[in-house]
Amino acid sequence: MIGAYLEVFSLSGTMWVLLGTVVGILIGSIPGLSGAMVIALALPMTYYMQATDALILLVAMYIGSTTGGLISATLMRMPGTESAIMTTLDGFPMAQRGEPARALGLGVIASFIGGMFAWLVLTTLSPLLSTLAVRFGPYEIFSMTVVALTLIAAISKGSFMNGLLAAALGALFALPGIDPISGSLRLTFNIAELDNGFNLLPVMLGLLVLGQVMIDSGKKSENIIQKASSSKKVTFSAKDFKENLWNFARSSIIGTWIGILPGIGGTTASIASYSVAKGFSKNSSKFGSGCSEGIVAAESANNAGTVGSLVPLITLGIPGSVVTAILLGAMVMHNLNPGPLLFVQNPGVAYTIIAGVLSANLIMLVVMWFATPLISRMMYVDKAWLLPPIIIFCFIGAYSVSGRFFDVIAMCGFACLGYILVRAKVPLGPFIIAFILTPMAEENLRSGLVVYGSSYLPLLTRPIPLFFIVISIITAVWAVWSEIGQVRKAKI
Amino acid sequence: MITIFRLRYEISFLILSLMIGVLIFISASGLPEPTYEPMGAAAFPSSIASITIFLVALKVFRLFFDKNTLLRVEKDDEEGQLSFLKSFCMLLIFIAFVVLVCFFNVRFWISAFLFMLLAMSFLKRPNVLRRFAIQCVALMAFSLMLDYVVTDVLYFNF
Repeated sequence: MIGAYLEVFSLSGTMWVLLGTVVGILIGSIPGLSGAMVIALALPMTYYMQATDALILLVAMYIGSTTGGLISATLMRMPGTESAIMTTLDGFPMAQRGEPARALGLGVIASFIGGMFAWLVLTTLSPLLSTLAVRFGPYEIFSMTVVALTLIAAISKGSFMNGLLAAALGALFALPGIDPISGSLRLTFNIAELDNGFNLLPVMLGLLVLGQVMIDSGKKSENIIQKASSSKKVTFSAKDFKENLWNFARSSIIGTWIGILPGIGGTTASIASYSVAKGFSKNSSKFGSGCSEGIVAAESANNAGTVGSLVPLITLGIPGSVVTAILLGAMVMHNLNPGPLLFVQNPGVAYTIIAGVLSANLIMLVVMWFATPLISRMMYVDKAWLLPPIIIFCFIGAYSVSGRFFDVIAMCGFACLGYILVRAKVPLGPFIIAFILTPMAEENLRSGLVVYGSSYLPLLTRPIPLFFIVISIITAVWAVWSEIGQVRKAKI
Repeated sequence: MITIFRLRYEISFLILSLMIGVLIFISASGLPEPTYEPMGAAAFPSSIASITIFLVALKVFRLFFDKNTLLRVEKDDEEGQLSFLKSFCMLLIFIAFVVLVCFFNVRFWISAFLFMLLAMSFLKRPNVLRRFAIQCVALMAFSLMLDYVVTDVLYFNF
């Protein structure tokens, strides 16, 4: 563990974290570009790096992009990332009335405190969870993948049925290739390039990046952007800290625990935290008009949720969001074995990620504090300048996987699919997570049948699979019930 | 609430899901029986394909027989058309770039330069000659730098 921290805080480690954080903040501050996009684009470039350097770079981008959304949310009323939506409610009004420095300062400090609290939880909880996870057998892992898919389908935007359908489609695309148990080819339709199935990178680049670029290309010239007065500095007073002390703590706790649950993510964390803060506040009527508590609640929770989502990834190998799914893909690409045995087989990698989170949070604080005025100019870069180079990087990334044009063609196909999904308001998260988890689910289910003599009964008699299956059923019933309730409301 | 423009994409999504589900189901039925383990290679694909087809059927039922489904035309029809065409054109420009690089073996920096120039001009028409000239020079430099990275660092061989 100490070795991991020394490596991350060495000169080369710090450089990678600095690069990742700065790029993440830059991209996160530009509305329309997301952390998932930049991480997916950076993924092929990490092929030639050491696994630990690659992971800390990507984790730093993840943390940077979550915080970067604060800048455009405060100064332009346009969240750079989805999780910064709640920040616009109070950040922009505060900036508009002549306090942009204070608004940014509140957001930066709140992000830092939320991130650090979640890092503490990550550091203490992950080794404990991993000792439990080592006892997981095939049925435990299978039931875990089922609960992750059910949760993310239930909680993603849009209806539960759309989420399930997206997950089923993602699972179908994951199946062609080599059968994980017998090793024989299946569902390749005599296409030689499908012998190894669809590569993860072209799928992600197509769905998340090229598909989004297609949508952005089709937008008319943007509406007149509202701008608050920009700021040459960021400020934070002791009075603001004292007034928001409990808010910092409460929002960080809410954000961390929501982030740990697979499928929920930073956006829900910030919404929940904002609502709770409003409920507890003595000045609840001021929320939405530039209240410091609103900014603190939103930013603490979304950064805490970001770091919290790394807990199930590192300990159980279950991605809780699209970005952590990409990070999981990065681990697979670097020949790591993500899952319950990561702490046992590659403890250095696990602790490096944890140390990387600490380093990224510290660097994020410094960068955001001193460089925000400069970064805020990036928000006004014309999309016409950004989108074509992004497409070129997608081409390079897709081709770099195996040097085949089939991957580029596959990327175009998935871009069209991503375009249709987004226009039909079908969430992409379940698709990507199902694409990644389906091979794991199938392999473990079939292995479990072999181990337990063709019996499915241990799924119900062993405590951990039973627990996860009950959670899945409750989640599915709740999601269907909510949807029926919404349909009834619409009828009235 | 479902608008007619969302509906066309929902229907496309449902047709695509159904086609893929049916294709996988039929292909999986041709896979050999399991020999060394109880489940076999066909069980998972068949199950997921069945679930997909079932969900599509449910969605279709809900879409077309739910009386409260409201179909209203978007305020500006033309805007919906324009956004699809622009997106499609952008994809076509990218495909043209891929064809240039892969099939006509045009040098990468030339293809990238032409692609970015065309794409940027398509997204935002240049209206000042001087600005356009600066844009060309910047794109040329960027394309040459990319070409160096792609050929001498990544060793791509198109």
